[in-house]
Amino acid sequence: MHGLIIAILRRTVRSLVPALLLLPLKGMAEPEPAPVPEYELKAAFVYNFALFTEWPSDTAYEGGTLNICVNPGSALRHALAALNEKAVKGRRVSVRHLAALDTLRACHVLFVDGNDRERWVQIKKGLGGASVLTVSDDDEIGHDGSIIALGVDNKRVVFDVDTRAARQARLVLSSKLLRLARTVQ
Amino acid sequence: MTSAFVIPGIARSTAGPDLAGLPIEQLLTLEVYSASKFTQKVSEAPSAVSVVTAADIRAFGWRTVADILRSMRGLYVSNDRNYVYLGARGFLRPGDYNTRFLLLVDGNRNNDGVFDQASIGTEFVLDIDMIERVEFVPGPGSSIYGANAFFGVINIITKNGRDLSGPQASVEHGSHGMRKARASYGMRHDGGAEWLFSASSYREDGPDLYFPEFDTPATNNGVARRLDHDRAQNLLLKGAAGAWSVSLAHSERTKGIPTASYSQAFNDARARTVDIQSFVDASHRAQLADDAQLTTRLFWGRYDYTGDYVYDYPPLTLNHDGSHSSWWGAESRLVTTRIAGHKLVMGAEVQRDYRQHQFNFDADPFVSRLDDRRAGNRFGVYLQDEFALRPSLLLNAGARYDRSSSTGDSSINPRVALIHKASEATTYKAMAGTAFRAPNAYELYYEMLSAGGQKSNPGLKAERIRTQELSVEHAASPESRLTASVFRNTVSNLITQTTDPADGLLVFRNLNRARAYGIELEWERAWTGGARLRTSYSWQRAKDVGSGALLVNSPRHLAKFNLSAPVPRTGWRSGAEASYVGRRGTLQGETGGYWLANLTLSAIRLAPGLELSASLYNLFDRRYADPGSEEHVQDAIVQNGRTFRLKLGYAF
Repeated sequence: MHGLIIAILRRTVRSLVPALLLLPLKGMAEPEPAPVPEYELKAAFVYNFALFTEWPSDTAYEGGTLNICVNPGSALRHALAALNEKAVKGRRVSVRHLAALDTLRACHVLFVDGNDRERWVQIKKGLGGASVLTVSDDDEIGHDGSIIALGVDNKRVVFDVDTRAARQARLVLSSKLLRLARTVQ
Repeated sequence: MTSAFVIPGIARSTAGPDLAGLPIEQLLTLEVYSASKFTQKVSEAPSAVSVVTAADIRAFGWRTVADILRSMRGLYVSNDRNYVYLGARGFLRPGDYNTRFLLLVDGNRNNDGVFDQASIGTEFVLDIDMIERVEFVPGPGSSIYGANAFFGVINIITKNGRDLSGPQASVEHGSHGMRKARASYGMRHDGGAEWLFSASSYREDGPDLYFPEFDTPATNNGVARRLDHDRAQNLLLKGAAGAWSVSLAHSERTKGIPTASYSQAFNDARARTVDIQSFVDASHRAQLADDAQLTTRLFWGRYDYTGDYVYDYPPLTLNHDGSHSSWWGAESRLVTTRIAGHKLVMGAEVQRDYRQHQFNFDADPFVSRLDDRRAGNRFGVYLQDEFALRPSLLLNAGARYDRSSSTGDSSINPRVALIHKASEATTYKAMAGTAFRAPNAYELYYEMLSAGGQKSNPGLKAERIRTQELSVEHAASPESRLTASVFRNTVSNLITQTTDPADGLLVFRNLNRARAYGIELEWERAWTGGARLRTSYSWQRAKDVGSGALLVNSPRHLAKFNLSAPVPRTGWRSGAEASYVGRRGTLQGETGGYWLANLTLSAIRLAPGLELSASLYNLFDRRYADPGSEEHVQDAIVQNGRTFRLKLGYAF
């Protein structure tokens, strides 16, 4: 069997090598944007999710800010903190460390990742049906009750939306968001 | 009162584009380079785990699993130009085919049924490009994994279809006539089903080698010509749909033997070993409830080894040595958090080694010297519980019962770890446990009664290790982690290959106790600009308790330095690696300590889809040697000087 494999590989290599050598020239003529850091890109997505979400009219905005909460241990916290002072529908964004869960309901957007696995069950319980847009970035938490799940597919950031979880939180996600999502449940 | 406090806006350290200002449609088209992420929850593992990812493999130009492992804290390797051997915490026994490490591929045991060998060189069953992550869990793992998890568990996690997303190809070229090509295809369908296929072929002509021990006119003045050749093919097929996943792998590796090991005639072009491995593994994950998951695996595997050895009896005769081992088995594992505060893992595993065949014969005239056929069973049950004594104090306790029909021995191995999260940043761990290794069929029954041969020892008993370890992990920030450990290992009934002075034959015996103790320090750091550093230092001392003598192939000092960083304004990344292995005792003398440096430059996106890397190994052309074993005339075996590799990859 392996004689055949070698033959196929050898043929592949022979036909590929000349092609590969030509590619850089062709590629460099039309440069694509350089790769961007994962955390900054994901933070930009979180900001966009907030832009395309309608909170119910009875939502409280203490101090007039739209609060994005993140675990102080999260690798994304610096990238998210850069969203401070940006605006969502006329409200200033405030990025907050969520160390304990007693202030969970002050969040409008909650970002969770691998650091929150242990307390995810508690978080879900603590949220009840509160109007908090939960965005997860973790394989394990994934779709387990979060409204939007971030992921990376073929080196690009993608997201999946769980509309049932959104309805429970009485949040309305724009049709544009649903259209751009990889999957909508 | 309020624990959610506002994070002060930090000055943007990167002058990159304001991504949050871009429309979401455009964000979806941007390609990311993944940030260095320390694997989550490592701090709660009952061991000080080392993790290496595919990004590290690419950044440092690693070619084999051995290259990866030697960069990890406390590990070192020895290469006799036939196989590569792994040492941990001061132990690397001559003649040991890595039987004291359990090698898992996606959780499946890869050690074979005759030698219990963990293949970490070019004979490893998978192409290194198919590896997503490698974890090394030091310390005894028998309480979950049973036999062979003696000094540690190597867990190789392979890529999935979604990690490729289409066809890929790569070609490599390097020193000593090295060339390699790979073609892979991976796909994930909308329904979630995914599959992956990869085939690769590698070949290296190898250098001519000079061995002063054979420097006579009759033996080509000590030059082994074209005998360090190496050739390997690897195939992998993987699929997953819903709760099911299936993997199938096959590999064949042929390696020339330049050292004339086992008293062979020197410089005969026929001397070589062939290792053929295959496995099929099917697993099913059932979510029984929100808080209970049952994983069931069925596996089949085989490992055939044949060695062509040339002896000058006289006349010059070709001798075939080999083994066939085949096995199948099943494992079930239940993980549940149903009982509040407890995480229970329980499971049972059974393996039938239905073929354990060892043979040795001369080709012409035909003389059979060994034809040993056996079969055996292994069985194990285990239970582990992780529970919170207090919110900041975790107790991880487990035990496994194992029974192996080869020796009729049964064994119970417990492990206890106390994990104290003193603060968000600091975790203390105290660990104690035992592990065992039953003698394998090779050690028990291999017999070839001629010069340079070996005799059997069916009376061998299992060896055992007792380990105590204290460690502290301190994460000053999520980007920085400091790990320090102190350990003590005591091995009793250590199975050791020796030469019986009465007849000059090799034999495995349960020798005295050995003890090793030492300290390890490691610092990992990731910078926002994308640079990553992992550096460690280990000090260890391993002694034979009876004689007080230091063990052979046991360096007192190990140091590692791995820095990978983007080269500003170029899109290239550099991976600089330096490692130090201290002086090591050999069977007759010692080999000097050495520093080794490797440098890799890689561009992930030279053009869309195009990846290029250039590596220099042994950058400063240092001359260094690894200790030989009982089967070698050479007391130390000199390793390669400076070599290079160029690798070009394309994703269609």
